[in-house]
Order: sequence, then C-alpha cells, then structure tokens
Amino acid sequence: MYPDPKAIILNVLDIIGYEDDKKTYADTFMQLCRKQALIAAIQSLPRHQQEACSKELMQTSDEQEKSNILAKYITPRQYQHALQNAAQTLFSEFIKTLIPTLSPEQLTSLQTYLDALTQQQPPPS
Amino acid sequence: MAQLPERSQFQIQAEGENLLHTPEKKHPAKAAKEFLRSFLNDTNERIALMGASAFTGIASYILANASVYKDPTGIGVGALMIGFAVGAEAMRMRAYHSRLASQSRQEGVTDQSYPLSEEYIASAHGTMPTASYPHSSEQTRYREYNEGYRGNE
Repeated sequence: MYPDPKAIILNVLDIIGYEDDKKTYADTFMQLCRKQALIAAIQSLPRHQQEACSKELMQTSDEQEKSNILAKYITPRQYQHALQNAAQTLFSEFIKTLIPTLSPEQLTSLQTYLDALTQQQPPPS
Repeated sequence: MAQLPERSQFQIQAEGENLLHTPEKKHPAKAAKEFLRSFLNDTNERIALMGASAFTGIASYILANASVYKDPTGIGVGALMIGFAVGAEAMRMRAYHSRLASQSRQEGVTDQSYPLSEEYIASAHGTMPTASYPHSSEQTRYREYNEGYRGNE
C-alpha cells in the first residue's frame, strides 16, 4: 500500500518551519496537482471528444454522473500519467522556490529528506 | 594581455554599495505561500480560458471540484507518490549544491579560491578516500619531505 502523498508536503512544511495551517496548505497543493492533471488530460483529447465531453457534462448536475462521464473520456492510464507529471512538476517547482530561502540547517534537513524520499520511490504501476 | 576597461571611482563605489544592500532573504514560509498562490492563479486562468471556449462544462466542473476523476483503484495516490519522488530526485542535487555553496560562504571560501569541482564535491560528501584528495597528496608529500629534511638535521 502506498503511503499518504499529503504527508510528503506536510514533512517539507515542517522542515521549512511553516507555522500556519499545514493541512490546508497540503490539501490545496493536492487539489492543484489534480486540477493541473485534469486540464492536461482533457487537453490531450481530440477536439471532437473535448466538445462531446463538455456537452454531456453540462446536461447533468449530478456529481456521480459527471464523474462517470469524465471517466468515459479519460482512461485511468491517461489520468495516472497526467497526475504523475503534474505532481512531479509542481513538487520540483515547490522545492526550487524554497531552496534559496533556507538556512544551512534547513537545507541539510531538506536534502536528507529528499534523499530518503527518492529511495522510497514506489515501483511504477 | 587584453586591457580591462577602466572603471570610474563612481562605478566602483556603486558596485560596493550594491553588495552592501543585498535584498533581505525571504522567509521560506512566505515563499511557500507565494508559490501556491501563484500556481493557483495560473491554473484558474487556464481553466477560465477553457470556459471561454466551447468547453464550459469541463471548465466549470474542474473549478468546482478538483477530485472529479473518481479514483476507486487508488491510481491517483500512486501517481502522486511517484510524481513527488521523481521531483525529489530532480531536486536533491540542487539542494546538495546549495548546501555546499552555503557552507563555503560561511567558511569564507570564495568560488575563485576553491572551485566546487566534482572531486571536491565527492570528497565533501565522503564518497572519496582521503588519499585521493589532490590537496591531501600534496600535503602528504610536503610532510614527508619536511620529515625527511628534519631527519637529516
């Protein structure tokens, strides 16, 4: 079983001494990854499929049905690929933004954590 | 040898003042907040652009709920974990180099006097035996020479 990806963001926030609501930050970060992944997955569809999917979605207000419509157009494989790319890009940019602001002690902690995280990488499914 | 263009006293003074007035380092928490805000704005702009075209249904749906793609098999969690780990792999060398540069600055070592060569980085990381340090072998030779010299006295 995979560990909780949110814990990774929470750990980085701990290292940098983030004092506000870490959980809200991590939730927003995850949402951002999912939004980016959906945009990318939808934009990778042929234009006629994008239009058809959009039309179908507008015809219903039921959340479950909307989700089923989306799953009809975006395969699990496409979604997985898009989400992995979005998570990779956002996490890299996140760390890149933080590095110049860190103290030497924080940099050491971050480096140790990144090393450990790289070794824990789950096998591609 | 090529002659460097002469710099006026005013230029030299201005450069010195620039060095003294380096902008204050941003707090990491502030940088983290700004990062998230900026990416959220960019993403929402992209979604708004989709809404402006024929894909209003998709755009409003993504805006309303980021978890629209139901994930009963947990592929989303796996994809996030792999994405973060690959991102971490890409960034860990950057963190490492930043740490070395920061250490060098603290020790008063400038890039010119002690370049961060691959050998130096590897040695500082503890992956290279002491005997292979270029500086160490020179020091060893110097010590042997001195000891030999003293032995002859």
